[in-house]
Amino acid sequence: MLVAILTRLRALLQRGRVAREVDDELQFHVAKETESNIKLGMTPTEARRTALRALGGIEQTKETIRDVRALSIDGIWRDLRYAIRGLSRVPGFAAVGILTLALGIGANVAILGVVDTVLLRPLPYFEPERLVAFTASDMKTGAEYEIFGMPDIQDLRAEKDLFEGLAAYQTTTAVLRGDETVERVKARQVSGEFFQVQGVRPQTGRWLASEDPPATVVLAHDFWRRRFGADTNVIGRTLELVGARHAIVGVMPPGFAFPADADMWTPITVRPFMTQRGVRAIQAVGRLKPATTVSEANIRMAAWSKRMALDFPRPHAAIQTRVLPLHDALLGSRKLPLVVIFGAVVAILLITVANVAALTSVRGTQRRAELSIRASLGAGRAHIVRLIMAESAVLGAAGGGAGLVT
Amino acid sequence: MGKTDYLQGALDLLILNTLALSPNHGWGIQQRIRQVSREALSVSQGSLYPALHRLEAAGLVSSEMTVSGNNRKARVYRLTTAGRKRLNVETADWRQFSLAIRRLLQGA
Repeated sequence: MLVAILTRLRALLQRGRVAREVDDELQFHVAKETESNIKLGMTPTEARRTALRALGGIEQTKETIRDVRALSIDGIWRDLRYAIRGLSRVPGFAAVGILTLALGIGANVAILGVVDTVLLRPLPYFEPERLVAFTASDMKTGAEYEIFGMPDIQDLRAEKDLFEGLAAYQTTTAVLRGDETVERVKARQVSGEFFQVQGVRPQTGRWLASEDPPATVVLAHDFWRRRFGADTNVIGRTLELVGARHAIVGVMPPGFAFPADADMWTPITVRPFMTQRGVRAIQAVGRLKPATTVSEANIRMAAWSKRMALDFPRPHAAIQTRVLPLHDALLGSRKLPLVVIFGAVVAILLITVANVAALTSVRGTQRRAELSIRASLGAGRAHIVRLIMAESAVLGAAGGGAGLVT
Repeated sequence: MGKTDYLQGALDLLILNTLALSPNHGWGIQQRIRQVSREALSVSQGSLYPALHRLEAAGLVSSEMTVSGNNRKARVYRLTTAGRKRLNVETADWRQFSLAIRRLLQGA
């Protein structure tokens, strides 16, 4: 079917070339026939004349070929033209059909865009499937924590054959004082390994390092564009954050704003209370060793949790610490509503399709008289189906186009 | 009534059957039909080429312009998958039809 349509399209677009090819084809035939006649003992002139005679009227053959080809192509155009004319005679039907399709398709396009960025597109990190977040469940109270104490982080970091790297961070905000403005920015505090663990290279400048002083900052791409107009000479300038001048050492590439739409990242300040076991104040992101799956890691984490419960019974007695893919952790609460909305929108599309199908079949009933006239005038069953298909195709194309534009 | 008059209805079948053996150009198809039928069947160019183009428009055969050894351009046709299916159907139909005719003649 596809081949046939392509052949016809080609014939339509290259009428001149097709005619030349038919010419070549018939010339070839005459040449072969002439050769064969010579072999039978004719003189070359005789042989060619006989060959031409055998071919009959060359022009007539060409014309028949042209008709055969034209019929099928022009047929499609004619059907489309009929369809447009037919639809414009019933503007109400056409408008409702196109509008219904446009709404159904438009809603789907809009939601699919969101689903694509949030659910389907992978994280902008190096081997994101190895990145994990941590949660702890208290088996006694049923409480779930995503925050840990500094000692926990250090104990997890000691599991060197499970984690390639482990970084701590706090989803903090800070007050940024500009020349005339004061704003609250999402300045996340992160440990020195933070960028390295996620495998995201800075676009300009460098990562934060463990030995950096607290007044150092790396900017997110969006913030850099908003605040500095994407100025590449930003490295070495300062930002006044929480009353201290922070030196800008790097800018991250677009798409990286972890955690939670970060504007910038500063080194984590470990306060004395954080180092007490049982105080929860820090989140963690880890990178598993290559070829370690999340479920394998969780078997090890169960053993680790048991060991911790024995070593530090007071805070750890009933705590079960697990890892989960970072992608799931990031979506977490957002995933289910999105899936539900997507399902709803797909259902809307199905309803749309059912509506238009019903409309079309009503129109089919109204057209019965017209169609039986066509049939009695010699239109084949296939041709009538094609006519109706052409009308549906015009309706669908118009609706789809309108849906994409909205 | 000449024997070639029966031919028209079976022309598609003859062409598809010939192309099932190997891709060929129009002249080759014509020669082959003539040889295999021991000169009994002869297809005129005036119906062969329109039929080939019709079969191509229907997607049963595909064609390609090729340049032969002495720089002559030839259009070579080959059977498509749809063409092969159609050949099977038409062959079965023809067998049934000719069997019916034979029975009828024997009964008479």
